[in-house]
Amino acid sequence: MARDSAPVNARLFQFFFRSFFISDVLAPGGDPRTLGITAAAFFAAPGIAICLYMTIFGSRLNTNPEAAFFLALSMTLAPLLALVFWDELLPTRLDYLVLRPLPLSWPGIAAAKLLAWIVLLGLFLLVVNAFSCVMLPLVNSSDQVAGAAVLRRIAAQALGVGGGAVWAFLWVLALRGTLAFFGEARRVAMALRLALTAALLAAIVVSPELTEPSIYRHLAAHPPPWALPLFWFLGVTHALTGRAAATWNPLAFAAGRQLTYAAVAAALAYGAACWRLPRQALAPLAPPLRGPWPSAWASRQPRRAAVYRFALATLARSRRHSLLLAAWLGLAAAAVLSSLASLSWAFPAPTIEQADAVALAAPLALCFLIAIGIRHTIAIPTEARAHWLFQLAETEPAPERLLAFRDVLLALAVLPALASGVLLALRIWGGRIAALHLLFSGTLMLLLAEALVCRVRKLPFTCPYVPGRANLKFWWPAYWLAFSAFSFGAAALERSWWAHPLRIVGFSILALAATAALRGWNRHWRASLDACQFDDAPDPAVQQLFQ
Amino acid sequence: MIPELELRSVSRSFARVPVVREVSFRLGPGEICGYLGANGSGKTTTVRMLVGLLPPSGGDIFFAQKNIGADPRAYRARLGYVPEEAHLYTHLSGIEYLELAAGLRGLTGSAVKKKIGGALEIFGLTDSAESALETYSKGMKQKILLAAAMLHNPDLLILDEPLSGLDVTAVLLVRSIFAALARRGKIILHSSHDLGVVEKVCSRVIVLHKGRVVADDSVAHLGALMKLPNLEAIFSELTHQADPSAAAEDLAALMEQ
Repeated sequence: MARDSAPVNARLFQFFFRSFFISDVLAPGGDPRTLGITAAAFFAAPGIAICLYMTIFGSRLNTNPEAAFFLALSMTLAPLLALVFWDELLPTRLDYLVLRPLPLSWPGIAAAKLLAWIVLLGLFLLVVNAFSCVMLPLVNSSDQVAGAAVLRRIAAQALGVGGGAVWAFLWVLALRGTLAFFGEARRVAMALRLALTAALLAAIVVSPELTEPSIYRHLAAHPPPWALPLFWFLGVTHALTGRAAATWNPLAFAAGRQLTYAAVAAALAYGAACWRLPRQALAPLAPPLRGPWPSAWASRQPRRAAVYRFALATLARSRRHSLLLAAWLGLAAAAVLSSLASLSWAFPAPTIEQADAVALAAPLALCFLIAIGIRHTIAIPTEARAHWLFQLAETEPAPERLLAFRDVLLALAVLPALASGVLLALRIWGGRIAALHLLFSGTLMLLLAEALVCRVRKLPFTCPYVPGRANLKFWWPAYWLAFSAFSFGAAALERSWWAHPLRIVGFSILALAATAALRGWNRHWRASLDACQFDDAPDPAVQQLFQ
Repeated sequence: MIPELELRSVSRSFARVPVVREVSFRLGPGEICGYLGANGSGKTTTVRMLVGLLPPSGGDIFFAQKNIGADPRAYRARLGYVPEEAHLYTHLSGIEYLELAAGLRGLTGSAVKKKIGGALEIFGLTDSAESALETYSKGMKQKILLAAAMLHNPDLLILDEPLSGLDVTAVLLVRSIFAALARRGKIILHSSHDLGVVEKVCSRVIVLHKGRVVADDSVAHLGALMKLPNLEAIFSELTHQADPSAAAEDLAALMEQ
């Protein structure tokens, strides 16, 4: 039976392209078409919303800060896409084992994967930037431009944001290829990926600050190294529209040079990794990352300790869960960075007390967002069909095992946040303030951990997740209020009591008493439980009010 | 209390379609019972009800003269289970999985470490103990499941296709393990498609057809009653299997078209 190679290559391309939408990282078992549409809407929304906001509220578009903001958004989202699909950036070991026995050439398989990536990235950039690229020149209220000039501005904006995004994407690809070529140093790769994810998410959240003219002017006058790429590609946009050639043309040339370097690095790394993969595919995989778990936190109760270690191992090794936690870390970093940034352009200039309060709030904000992130992450199951192990091992009443969640919170949220806060306080204000901060923040963080354990009857990662249960659409003001009160409100209170340490001691005693009371209530509630929850039914379609 | 497993008229339906119908049998200490049936005959559903993952639609299951629903925790403490498919937490290593299984059952200390180390050595997994389960072959995963099922020294072992994917050496080893456990008074229910192994290992077989028990006896006695030479012939007769040679010829002809 004759087989034509063109349809085979097209099917290979389709296979790789489709596999992006059935990734277990995003939506295991989900419908690819629905996922594609949802993702497109999600990524197009910020550009559309911000353009409309600027138009409606009279902000002048196509000025440097706004153009810089859209460029920053594009340059952070593209590498984030690469980080989310980190394992699929290159042909995988599974691709090799499944596809190589078929009558297909290995370079052909690698080329099909690359083509799938080019198409995905192109579509992604189109979704993210299309609206803003058209809107920026069209609604410009300062210039009277029409016809070819508008088209030129649209093309310039598209080339600027597209070039910047591709540049950033290519460097992630180069990094991935290099790590793969040198045999997947998994610990390094995982740490790098999570750190980059958190940093990029923080950058996305902070990027609207660029639209503040004073911040933009400050950056443009003395661009720090991390902001240089932004100005290179802003140079592309402005050079193509014929603005201040002396300023922007050199930057545009620098952008071209940097794009070439990135393309060469990515091509070399991709090629080298693909060349190496056939040898690596049949070799045994490296053992999973072990620790260093904060094992000292593990309870002496074996069931609780087993659940605790399982939860930490899953958070560290599951791609989906570690990415989700990295996203929360990024949000935490963004909250701290944006509050620090707000100090720099506040008018009138902030008082020393206000500056102190923001610094004091940083560890509390970190603790809050990481703790909420952990609570969110562990609600999403891993290997759903393996939960029978937990169900059949339920040979004792539930309470003790459920406390593993509190151990995880203490180890991953409270301990690191408190340590960083105390070290920061020691460095800036000295031992006395550090001791007060330890007391004040420590007791508050313990109270938070105990509050988050309330009414939890699921073991980490072992119960199906029903999306929408948290009802964020309705409750987000309450969450925001709680976050603000816990971090910035409490920090302002702490700062105001520096002159009255007894107040801090009194407050801490109250917080400890509240923690003890909550702990007692939790113990009583858990004692009434018959078993842990391994099944979560969705809420009924029709709900009665006040039920 | 004598550890005896008894099913009384156990039934299970899904969307009003009966899958298991009025199944009754009793297993005593030291018995290894083969639970046989064609695909879709209701074996796995029975097994899931036996381990408590699925409630019966009708009937009762007793262990040591107690309904297992009355005190499920006490029942689970005496139960070991190997599921039909090797669903494991594949991000854990082999040794971590066994430590998790032991920890969840409240086992701790050097005795457990010794048990885990010994089980890994006997199953030939010592070298890959630290590797992630995602890198294990099907047979290796099956060995981990068998080890995890036995760590807490259960009185009752419910095994759904426990030899699936095992190599010949491992099958011989597991057969000997079953015999050793039976000598210690453990009850073993061995649900399987592998008639050869069941014939050699099990002191008794229960054959299920369309959710009903159609035979429950020793292989020798069934063979004598039905005047058939082996378990394969008995099974084909009881479950009305189509002639496999004719079906094979039909399929080969179809592929040639």
